[in-house]
Amino acid sequence: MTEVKLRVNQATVACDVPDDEVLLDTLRDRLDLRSVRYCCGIGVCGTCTVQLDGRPVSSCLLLTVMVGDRAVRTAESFEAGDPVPAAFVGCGAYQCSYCLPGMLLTAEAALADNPDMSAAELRDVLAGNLCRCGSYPQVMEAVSRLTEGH
Amino acid sequence: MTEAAITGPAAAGGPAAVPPGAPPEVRLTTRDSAARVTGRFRFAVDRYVTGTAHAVAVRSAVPHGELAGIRTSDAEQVPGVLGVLTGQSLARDPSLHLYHGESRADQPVLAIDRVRYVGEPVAVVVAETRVAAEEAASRVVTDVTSWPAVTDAGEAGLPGAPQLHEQWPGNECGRWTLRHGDAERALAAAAYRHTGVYRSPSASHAAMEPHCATAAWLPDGSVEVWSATQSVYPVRNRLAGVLGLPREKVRVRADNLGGAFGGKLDLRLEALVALAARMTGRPVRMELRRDEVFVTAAKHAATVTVTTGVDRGGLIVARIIDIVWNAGAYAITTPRGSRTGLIRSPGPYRIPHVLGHSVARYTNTVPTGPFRGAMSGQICWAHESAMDEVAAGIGLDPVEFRRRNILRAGDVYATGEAMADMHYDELLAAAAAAVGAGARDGARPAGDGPRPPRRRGRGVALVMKTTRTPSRSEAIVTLGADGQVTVRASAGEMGQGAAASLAELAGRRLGIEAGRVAVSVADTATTPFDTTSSSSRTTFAIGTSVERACKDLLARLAGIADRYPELPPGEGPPEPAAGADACLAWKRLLAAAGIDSVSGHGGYASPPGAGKLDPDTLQGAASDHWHQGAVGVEVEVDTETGKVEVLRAHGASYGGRVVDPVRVRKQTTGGMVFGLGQALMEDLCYDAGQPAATTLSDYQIPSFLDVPPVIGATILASPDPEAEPHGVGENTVPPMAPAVANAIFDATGARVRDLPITPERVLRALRAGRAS
Repeated sequence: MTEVKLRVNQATVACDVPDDEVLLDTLRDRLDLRSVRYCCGIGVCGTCTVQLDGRPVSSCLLLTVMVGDRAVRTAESFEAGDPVPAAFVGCGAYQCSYCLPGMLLTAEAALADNPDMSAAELRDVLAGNLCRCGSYPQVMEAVSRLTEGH
Repeated sequence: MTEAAITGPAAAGGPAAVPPGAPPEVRLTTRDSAARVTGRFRFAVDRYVTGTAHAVAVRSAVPHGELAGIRTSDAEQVPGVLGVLTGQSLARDPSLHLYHGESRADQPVLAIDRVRYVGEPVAVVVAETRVAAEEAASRVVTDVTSWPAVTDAGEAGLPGAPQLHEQWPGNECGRWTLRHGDAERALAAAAYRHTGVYRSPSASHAAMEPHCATAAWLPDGSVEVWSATQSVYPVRNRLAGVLGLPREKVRVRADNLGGAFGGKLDLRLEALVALAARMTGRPVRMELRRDEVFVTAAKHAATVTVTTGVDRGGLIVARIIDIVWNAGAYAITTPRGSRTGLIRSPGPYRIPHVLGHSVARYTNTVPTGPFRGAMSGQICWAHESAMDEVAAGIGLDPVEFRRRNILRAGDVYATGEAMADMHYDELLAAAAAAVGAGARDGARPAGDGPRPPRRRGRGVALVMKTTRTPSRSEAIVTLGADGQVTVRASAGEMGQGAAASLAELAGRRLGIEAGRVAVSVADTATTPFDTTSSSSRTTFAIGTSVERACKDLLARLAGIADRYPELPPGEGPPEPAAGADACLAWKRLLAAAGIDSVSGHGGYASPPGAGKLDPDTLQGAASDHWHQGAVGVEVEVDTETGKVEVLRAHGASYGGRVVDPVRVRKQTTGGMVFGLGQALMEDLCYDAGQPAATTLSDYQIPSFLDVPPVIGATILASPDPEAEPHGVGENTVPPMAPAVANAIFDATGARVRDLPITPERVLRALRAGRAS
């Protein structure tokens, strides 16, 4: 066990974690942040995406002890009226919504990094976020709305 | 008939306020969107019961063999382990019925004396933490004597093939015959005959959320299970049978699901956690890892042979169909499901003479279950590929050939019944026109054509599905003293928006906003019976029940008002559609009458005799109504690499009385995206009995980059306010693969008959085409 101090959604929390625990399990099971969800376990589906200092990462692959003082952001930090969530809601861009937090965090990080991103660029960024319900056409509408004029 | 072509963005539906004081166990559909985007919407995997221990299954690494023994002593030494459950220890308890199944009790909860597929649970380790359970599970040693295995359903029927179940010789898992007219004689007299063999592999439902379940025993000897299941009642009934308990001693509760697609039906984990909880005296939870999901439920692989006879006018005179299904290691729904597939196998055509044979066989592969469009993906791949092959053979455009043969109202189907409410003219026209297929459907899309070696082509495909028949649903709609309206029904919410649809239907009947209607989660202790949340029947069967329950509720409220004539005018129950004040007026009425709550009851049941088919010929009324869909695609094929790109896809679906066109559109486009996976990439294949793809890296599902750049939907809606709502969640899944194959043929003349349509198969078909 190692004691870590995590900065999550602008709060600092201390917890003891095994050295081999991944961030996904720490956030879900120790910090009760259930928006962070398991799906593939190998970093290919994007479901468990969180932001680390503003960059999207797969929390199923990252050991918690390696997070250090980087800021962790999960979907719980969103307000429904924030631009990215509002665009997804407005376009009905989800069905079961299990993959939705990962989609939102990936899109939000990309747009924060490059506000002038085109729809095609944002679509490519989201290619690593899988949705089995097949909501991609509606996500594409949200992407277009978020990149209007670029 | 109105045709609403919905191509623009979905209507804006911003998050609405959560009404104060909402009960914790009900979902208010209006609050979903805010909860979903902030990650606070709760799924089955989020269900934790205080004091829960964690279970991990030990699984067979051998496809077939004798389970001689299991050594658990090393596992039991791992700190935190509470116990290890084995089939042999359970078999000593005479109160249990370890073998279970919908129609054949052939599947043990845990392997007892033999294993039949890689991934079969042979033991369950329970520990304080999941990590400890996983560590201990790796230390369970199984002694298995390996036997020859069979993974192909054709080989499983050969003499000398390994036998999976002694009581079912020949590995037979259901055999059916569909006989209408005299197909052999009509075929012999046909002007043109064509035979094709079409194969589709097993596939994984691959819902994003893994299966999970939690069980807890209560002091009165009853058991409660929370499960990621689509349908609570079948689970409860089967679980009660396994545990030897009366049904009222078993409570099964569902939660919201992160997708299901047929993979979360029937008993999967529930008996394991119930027995593990009984052993340890603790609540026990099991949540699968992705590799376990791949070996927990799968699509039936199938080989379908279709022979079609056509007369000189391009009319189909006969069809002979032969289907071999791969049931996997245990029957589960296969005996019934294979009949369903056979009934649908002729396709939506007017064919006077049909003969169909279907046999399902056990193999040493993952147990099967319905897969979005249950048992239709396999047969639609066959009948729609065959339609285009026949059209090419007789020199007719494939759209025109279909137009001459599609079922219209009054035509007789292969089950001998006269069809009503048929919409294939409109569906076919919409799908074909959107992609420029068909000689009479307008010009092909203009613009720059592809440069060699790329070629473009267009294809269409149709599907017709039965819905589960006979079936039954019930609903209760309650008005509380606080004015809250709650729908109680056993609908599974798995992303299709069942709760939102039921709230909408109730709101319309009661004259209040849907946002004021709460919809409960399915729970056998509090929500009434429902046959199944599958088969695209929820909006129709439960929706109808909810509407009838609303009517009953309004009648009861009117009765109460009649007994309290002293109520001032305007404070009795309002007329339907009286608006938002309705709840307030009802609240006053109940307060005046001193009544805490009023409930209306409603139900749906298939008409008498529906689904009762002649066992020798399958003639009769096969379905309460028929799901109808069409897909058109345009593809571009690289003839040097074999790569196929779908440029356009258009789905057309009959929705009956459409509850929410936005959600219908999402089901229609989402179904095509889902179907694109089976068309181009998905193959749950086996290598020496081992499943070869058990990660989402090896088993690819469609991503953003696979989605056709142009994708659209046409929703056919009935303008009749009393028309039946139709489920639409499956209508565009099965036609996707044959539409793509037909478009590839249109582009290149190459015919691929095995799914998925990989570049290798396209290149091989191109070479075969050149050789001939």
